[in-house]
Amino acid sequence: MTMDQAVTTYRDEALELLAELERAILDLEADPGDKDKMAACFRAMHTIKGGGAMFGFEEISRFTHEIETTFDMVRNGRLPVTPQLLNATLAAGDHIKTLLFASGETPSDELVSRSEELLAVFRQMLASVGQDGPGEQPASPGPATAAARAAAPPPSQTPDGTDACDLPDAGPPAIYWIHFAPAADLLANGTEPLGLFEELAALGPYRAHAHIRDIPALDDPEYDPEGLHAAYDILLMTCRGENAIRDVFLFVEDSCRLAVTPLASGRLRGSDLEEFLEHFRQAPPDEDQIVAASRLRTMVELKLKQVEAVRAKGPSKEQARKQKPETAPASTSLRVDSVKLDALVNMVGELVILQSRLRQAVKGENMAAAADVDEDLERLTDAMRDSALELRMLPIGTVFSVFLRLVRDLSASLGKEVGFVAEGAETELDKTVIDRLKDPLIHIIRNSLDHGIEPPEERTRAGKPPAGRIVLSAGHSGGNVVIRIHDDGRGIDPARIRKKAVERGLLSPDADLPEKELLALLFEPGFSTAEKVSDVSGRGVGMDMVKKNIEAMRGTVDMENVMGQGTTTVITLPLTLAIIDGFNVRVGGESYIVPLANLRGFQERFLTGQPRQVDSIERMGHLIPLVSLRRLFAVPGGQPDYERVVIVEADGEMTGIAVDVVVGRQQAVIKSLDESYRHLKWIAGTTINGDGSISLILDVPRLLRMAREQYERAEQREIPA
Amino acid sequence: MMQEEGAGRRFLTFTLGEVFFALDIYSVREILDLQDITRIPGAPEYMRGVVNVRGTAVPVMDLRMKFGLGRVEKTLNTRVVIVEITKSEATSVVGAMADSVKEVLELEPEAIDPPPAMGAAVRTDFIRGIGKHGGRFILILDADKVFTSDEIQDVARVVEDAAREAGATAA
Repeated sequence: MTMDQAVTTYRDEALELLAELERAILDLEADPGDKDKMAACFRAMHTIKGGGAMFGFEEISRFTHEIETTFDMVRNGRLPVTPQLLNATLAAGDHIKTLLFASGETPSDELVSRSEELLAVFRQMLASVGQDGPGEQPASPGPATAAARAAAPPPSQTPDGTDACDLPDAGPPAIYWIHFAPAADLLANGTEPLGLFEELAALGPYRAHAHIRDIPALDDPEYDPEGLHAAYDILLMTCRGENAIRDVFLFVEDSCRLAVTPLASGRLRGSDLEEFLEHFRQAPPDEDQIVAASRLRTMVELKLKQVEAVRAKGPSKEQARKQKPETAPASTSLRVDSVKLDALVNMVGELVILQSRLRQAVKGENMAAAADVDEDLERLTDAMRDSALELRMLPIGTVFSVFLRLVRDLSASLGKEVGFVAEGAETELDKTVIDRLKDPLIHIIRNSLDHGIEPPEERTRAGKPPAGRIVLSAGHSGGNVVIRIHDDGRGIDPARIRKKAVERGLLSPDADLPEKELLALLFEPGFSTAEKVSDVSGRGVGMDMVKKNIEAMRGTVDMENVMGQGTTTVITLPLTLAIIDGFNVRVGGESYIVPLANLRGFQERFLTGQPRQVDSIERMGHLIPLVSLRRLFAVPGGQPDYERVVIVEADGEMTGIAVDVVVGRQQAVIKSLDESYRHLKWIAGTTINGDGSISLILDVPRLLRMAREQYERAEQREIPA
Repeated sequence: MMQEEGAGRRFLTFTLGEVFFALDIYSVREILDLQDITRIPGAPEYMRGVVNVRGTAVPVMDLRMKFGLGRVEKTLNTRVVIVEITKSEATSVVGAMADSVKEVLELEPEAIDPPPAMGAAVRTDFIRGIGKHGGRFILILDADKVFTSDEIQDVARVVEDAAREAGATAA
């Protein structure tokens, strides 16, 4: 496995974990006491962090660490589950997603400052726990840890730091000036000053300046190679408080001169601290401690203000950033239940055995044995096909959490109360379908939220409960999966659709359309009944895209509407994209598949002479158009005087298609047609028949549209003549 | 190692009518006997249809029609050369009908001339060069370009011009 693959795997895994996290958070929102979910949050964060460090996502690892700590405390019952925590975690999840797809080795400053912004919230929560310690409230029975001793100055500023501040018992960050002048005989006492600096490093970033003017020259008779003559001025940023610093020097206090001076509360990076070292270099050796401290303090505070100003610019970009996770590329890998995979591998084993049996039968020219193999092979092939297809099936519930989140966030921003119910999460669908279904569903739910569900006051006036309800349900129906999105909002006013359609020139003012057809207009490009364009929806791009996307998956989308009681959008999709159920028909020497989804029945016709390309035929008392496939496709060969007619339904209309022979029903494995034929939209694909020949699978709606266009063009040519 | 040395110099030669063509051996995947072709209605005429190559529908192109040299008729010698081409970064597989497939040739780079300069009316960018072997001209095709372009090429004229030019230099 190369590093690239590993990174991709990590990304996929992290995305899955984030989805889990989101589900857990939303569940916690409903039931804040759920221990399992708290643990799930912790685990998700822990795994993301660990992998992040391993695969070079340093920023993710750093960022996640603190949230992991928070959830560790939550699951241990030391932090309560608050709405603030849940909101912050959701935002953090989004941020991790952005970081996952951020390009380049090191994340941009903008991303880092966003991390800081989010982390500040978590730190505040953590700090509140730290404060529970006995530091200021000695009576409280909180855990007496280092946090207690480190109980730092009150959090007058927003805690906002990294490094040592990652620790759960951290207080607000502050900057200290430490003057440390070890006695010359420090080494003789068994103390190594380097160790002291290492301990300081554990507290936070520091920068030190060594004063070397007291070091005697080598030829000085006084020179003691084992003595220490340097003195150090150290600037340290830490969240652990002054006492923690003093603890470092606890055992050398008697053999050195030590002064710890707090300079300012706030957070600076190590490199910022470096700027101030110059000061120590220039300072006169015997300057008064207090004077020096006050000058340093002014400098540090000035710097802090600058940093703060830079950071404050961050949030304005937040809006734009929020959109990003949605466009994260869909994952191309698939997680498969190992049981399913084992079953498939077993079958491959069986296949190998069958093959050797077949060889023996052929060698011995034993027809009976070959017939046996054939029978076994048929059974095995069926089973293999089913289990191979099953590998691609995922429960639709995997995308439901996205919608839950969407409803939650949007209803809050629109000032509406909306409950979201998802039913049939276990319904399995082809992975490709699920991936491609997400965006259309998001769009429909947005519409329901924005246009459908009324504000609480309006609902109360209409005698409805103030909280609206959106129900997303999925289930099987025949060979299809049906997904319904129902809202109990105000519904769509057909009169308004009418008015809009006339305005847009989609409808002539005197046209009299039934409601069903008016609703169908909603799916026309550029149609939106929203009076004003809102952030959420109403730009008029969308419903036509929804329809396009669903049709591309060989599905249909319909609207049902009851004025004042709500709208239901019904999406019907085939179970899988890989296999299609249809009827094999022949015209001349050519073979075509008509998908069962479009098929409505069979009729016949007798002909004398050449048929027209488009004719008509009676069906159940109505005259419907009849297209001659032979003429349409210019199939070579003579015209028979008896034809079968396949009745199909597309775009809500019945049409007949005349063919020579209906061979029979066939399950066709779809093979896409080569790129070079991409302009032939009315071919959905090809399939290989049992005898090795190839049939073309017809895309009936597109085929009929093409036939209609040709017909209309032919008519126009005729009229002037 | 052998392959490395021969890269770009070994060619599969085939005929379309009287004209000899060659394809870089490394773009050729296999050579099949002509089998039933499933016509795709509505496609250009030189796209003869698709054939079943071990469960995949592979499009088949009639190079004679594509080059304006008539039409490949079914004979005992007719073959389909399956070619792998790179199309917008993906590899796709196309079959090319040929009247007959001849041999695998090694052509030294010195034996390959650049395609003759042409008037603006004819595109020659799908011809990589013109090789000479056994007193014949062999048009070496650029598979990626031939099988991805939609236009019909007038190769007959390229051949004539090449012969004329060669005659001119000889004289």
